[in-house]
Amino acid sequence: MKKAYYIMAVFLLLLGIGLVILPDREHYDEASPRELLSDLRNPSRFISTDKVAEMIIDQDPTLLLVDVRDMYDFLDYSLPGAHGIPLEEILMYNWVDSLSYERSKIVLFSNSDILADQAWILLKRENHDNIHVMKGGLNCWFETIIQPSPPAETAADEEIDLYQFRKGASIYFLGGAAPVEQETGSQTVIVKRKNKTKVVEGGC
Amino acid sequence: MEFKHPNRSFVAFVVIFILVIVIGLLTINKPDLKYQRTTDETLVHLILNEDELYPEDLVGIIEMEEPGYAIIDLRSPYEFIKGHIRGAVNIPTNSLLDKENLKEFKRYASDSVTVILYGQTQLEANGPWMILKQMGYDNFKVLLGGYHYFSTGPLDFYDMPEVPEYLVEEPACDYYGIMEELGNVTNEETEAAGQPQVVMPVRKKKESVVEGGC
Repeated sequence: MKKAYYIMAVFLLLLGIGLVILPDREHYDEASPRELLSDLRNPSRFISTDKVAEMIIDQDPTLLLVDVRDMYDFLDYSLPGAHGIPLEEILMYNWVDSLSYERSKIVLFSNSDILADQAWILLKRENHDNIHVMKGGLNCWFETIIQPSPPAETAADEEIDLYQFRKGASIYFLGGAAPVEQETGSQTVIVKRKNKTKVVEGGC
Repeated sequence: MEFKHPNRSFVAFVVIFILVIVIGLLTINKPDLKYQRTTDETLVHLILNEDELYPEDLVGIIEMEEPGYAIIDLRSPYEFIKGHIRGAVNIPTNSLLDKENLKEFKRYASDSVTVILYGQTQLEANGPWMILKQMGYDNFKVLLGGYHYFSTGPLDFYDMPEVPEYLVEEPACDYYGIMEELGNVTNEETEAAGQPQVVMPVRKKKESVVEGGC
């Protein structure tokens, strides 16, 4: 009986030593190449400039914009409210966990979408969720939101609606100074404040 | 007699214990494909930008029929049939990691063949290239501009604009300048639209005359 217990103890001890010797699987929670490839095929990883503009204007509290270009470009111009995290530093500081605490929709962007896509793949391999790439990047942003081109006269209603939205968004991002169409013969209204005649107010 | 019974149940216990461990070891799921590079190592390669192939260079490779190159078209078979770069092999992105393709990639690597990946745009080839890079394949390059540029854009080396269209990460315009310019124009327009109007709020005259206390 005792001997049997000893054998069992030694057996467990051997298993324990085996665990120590085995290499630790530090990349255990990574997405495998196959998973990454299927994620790549998922169109929802992209987000359009129109959607981003809408979220900025609505002041969506879940939106986290991340500019992956270098610092010079970021300081020159970036989207309102964006965080500048260059591609070189994209894996540092554990920023995803600390910044995405309350904001669940992370949108990466660069001048086009190549750099943002590269950052996306690295972060996706580390199993971060809710990360998107702004399709077309800032070049597309300026083409569609800041300087939208009007649709043809015969365009579908949706296209005209989209253009109206973009025109409005453009005004919003250019500082809110909308060009006001002047009406002919408009009268200037001047309202004067009348002098208050103070009467003696009686108190207690 | 007292000895035998606990011993027998003990043996049964040990057998079950060992069985559980053996079954556990056998059913442990191992990914069949592994990364050779960590994300940090991959990032270093990304910043070096050494795997980009300019379209005008590909023209030379095709025309001189240089040995040691293979071209892979990552688009769908339908797009491939409609038109593709001469000498390209069609491997759609979703079948990139199929067994026979991986076998072929290994053969390319051992023969030191440079493989050129292209999609409709550079973006389409970027993901597959990065996955292969992380798996340790170093002989893959990405065609800048993709098939779209190669089939439409100027490819003559001497005919190139200063910033060719395929360098998509270059800013297409001076962002800051445009924001300044457009911002100012709209401000001026509004100022010209009319004199600032003086609007004073009308406050009603208090009718109550002497207010009595208490």
